[in-house]
Amino acid sequence: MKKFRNILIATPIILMLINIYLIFMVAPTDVNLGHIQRIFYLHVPTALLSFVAFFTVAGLSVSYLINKNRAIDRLSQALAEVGLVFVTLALVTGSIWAKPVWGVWWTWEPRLTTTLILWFIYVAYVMVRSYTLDSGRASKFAAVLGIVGGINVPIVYYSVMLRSIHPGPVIGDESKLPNSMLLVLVFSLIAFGAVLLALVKERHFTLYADHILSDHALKRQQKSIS
Amino acid sequence: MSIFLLQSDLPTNLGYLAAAYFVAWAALFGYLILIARKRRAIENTLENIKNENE
Repeated sequence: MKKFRNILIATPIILMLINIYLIFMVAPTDVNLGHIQRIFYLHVPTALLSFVAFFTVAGLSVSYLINKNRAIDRLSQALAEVGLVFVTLALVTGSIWAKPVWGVWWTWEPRLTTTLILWFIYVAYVMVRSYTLDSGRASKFAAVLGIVGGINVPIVYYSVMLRSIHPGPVIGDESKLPNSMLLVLVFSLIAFGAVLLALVKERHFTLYADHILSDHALKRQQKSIS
Repeated sequence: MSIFLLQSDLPTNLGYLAAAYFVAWAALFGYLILIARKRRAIENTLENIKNENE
């Protein structure tokens, strides 16, 4: 078990070191934007992976509302938290890229606005989990927010079609990215994916142990009363 | 020569690039530290329970 955990922690570290080498030493410099374009290898994977995480949270939330399975609820919570970290990074790195390229830190255009709404939904999700005293009700409220967030994901993704100044899709048929950049981007996606999985696994473990300990404390309390 | 000129004409904006990578790594490490602290707290509680039962 400990060996598995070590592998889970070592893999993203190794992949990230290779990723940094590829981003700064192998990926070509963009002829129009210069070095600032390298933010793209950070911004795109964090954004895409947060969308995947939130979409999964929506699916798990539907499942939780039907089955009331605590394991699903825990996984959903871990994914939502890590997804929130990733979407925050996407927003911040996007803003840092926008300043030298667009001349502003922020503009109310469709992609940015819908992503900010998504961010607020998941901040609310985490707050509901933290501040609702009854854990059963907290899970139910959070599941509803998780579904709302999941519905927002395709809106964010396709918002570039609505008179957006945000660059279009970089993966898929519409991509105009040269292969040398695309390969680094794909590797970056894999590396950040490994980071996401490791963080979700660790957070899931703490939530699982927390539940067991609170159940144990409750049983002890009931025993002492009787 | 032409390649050199092309390279030097490119906008660098290295400060923004460094800021983006610094913020990203700081956020990821910050979250990792938060999880590690939670894990340590759980391990301490488990240790206490074990000691009580012995």
